[in-house]
Amino acid sequence: MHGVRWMTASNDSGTSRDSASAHGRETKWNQVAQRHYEYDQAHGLTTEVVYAIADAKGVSPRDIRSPPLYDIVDIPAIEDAFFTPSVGTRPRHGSGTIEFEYTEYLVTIGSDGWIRIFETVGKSDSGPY
Amino acid sequence: MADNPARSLTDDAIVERYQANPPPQEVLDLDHVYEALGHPRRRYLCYTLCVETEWTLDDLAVKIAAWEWDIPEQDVSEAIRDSVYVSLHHAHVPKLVDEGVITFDQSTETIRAAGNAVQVLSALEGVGGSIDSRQETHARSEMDDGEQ
Repeated sequence: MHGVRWMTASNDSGTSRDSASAHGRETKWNQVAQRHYEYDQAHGLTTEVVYAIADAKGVSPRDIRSPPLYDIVDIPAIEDAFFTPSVGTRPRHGSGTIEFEYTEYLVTIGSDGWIRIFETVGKSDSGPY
Repeated sequence: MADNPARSLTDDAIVERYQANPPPQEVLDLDHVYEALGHPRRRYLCYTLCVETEWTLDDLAVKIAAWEWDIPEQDVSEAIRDSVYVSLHHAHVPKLVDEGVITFDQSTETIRAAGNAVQVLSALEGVGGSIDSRQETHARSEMDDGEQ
């Protein structure tokens, strides 16, 4: 896979990186999966994020069970902020990236629709390379 | 109490009575009804509780997918079922557990109607006409399986 991206806890302004910085050391993350989401109420952002995590883990999405994403992050709020098409006739342009950790993975959701899944470097030896 | 206050809202006496009395506490207790019914897939999920009070997640996913795609249950593909299953497991079921509408048994992956289901279902009955006719349409289409 190409497009490996390195991120450090210290140079990122995202608010959800606090837990990583709290360890007092930089954490390097290695991207292992990505999916593109387009607003679609039938499919939904929750489903797309879980499918991306399943891609990263190399398992069926049904095998990603615990914890429920609901317990980790408010997905409907992200959907509203980034992907709700318009207010009246005016499109909305919320932009940015939300990050959160799900089990051993770091998940980022960008307002461009890209969902990216990262593993900490060191664990990636067993990744899909 | 007026039986149908909406119809008489132009009546000065009624308006005065509403102005004199604060809204009843029950108005503020409707939060979980709106939260439960605030997504189309959750409305279908709550509606399934009118059919049965207990569902496995897989049966629920097939039922809801058939309603959403307007197809017979046996035509629901594994891919569609799994996609609905994932959204139920990770979003809508925990939400409804939070709202006290259902309970979820993880070991058997079964949901059951809980205390607040009654209030939510009576809210659904408030729009009953259209939902009932839609369900009958689906029930008929399930009997005519194979026909498109």
